Amino acid sequence: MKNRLRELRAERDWSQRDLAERLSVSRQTINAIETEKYDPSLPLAFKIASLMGRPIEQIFTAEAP
Amino acid sequence: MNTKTDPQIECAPDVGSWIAPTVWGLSAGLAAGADTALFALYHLPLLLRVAMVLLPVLLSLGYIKCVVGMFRRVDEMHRRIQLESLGFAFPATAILVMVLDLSEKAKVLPALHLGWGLMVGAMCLLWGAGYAMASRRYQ
Repeated sequence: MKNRLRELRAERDWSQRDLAERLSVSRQTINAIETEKYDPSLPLAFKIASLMGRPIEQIFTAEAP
Repeated sequence: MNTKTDPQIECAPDVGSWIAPTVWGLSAGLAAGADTALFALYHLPLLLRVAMVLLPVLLSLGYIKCVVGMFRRVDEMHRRIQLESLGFAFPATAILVMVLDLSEKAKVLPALHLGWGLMVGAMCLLWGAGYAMASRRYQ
């Protein structure tokens, strides 16, 4: 799954640690999501969408088959 | 949706969070080791023997409580890493014990008389190896 988390985080000038604290996850988890090594659960994806103020589909997109 | 930091969530297990389970686990291991030595040396009354057998079990329950509590506190990615590492350690330990036992029975290896201590030790080492491998995947 592809995502725009790094770009959206950079727009807000947040560090990975800042975002991790806001989402109650570890910095490693944020890094793994940004590098697309880990796909977040649906509740975490919704939490990210809510924090970024965007619909979930604008942040996460399925990879082309 | 609530996006505030939940103070109950530990995010990632740090060194400190391993201290309590290690103390419980070592206590259980030492109690079981002492039991083994005392059973070999003395013929103790039945009730005392039962109490001695139950002591490491009770200490192990403390270990389980600490480890399960830690798994519940960590974030979802670290919970997955733990699941993958245990998913590796559990069958790998079973295979190791099976191979050693069969090798002894086939007289490929001399009789080693390896007890539960080997299994627990192997499981801990393989859990650590599994954790290292699973962690690398998400780095």
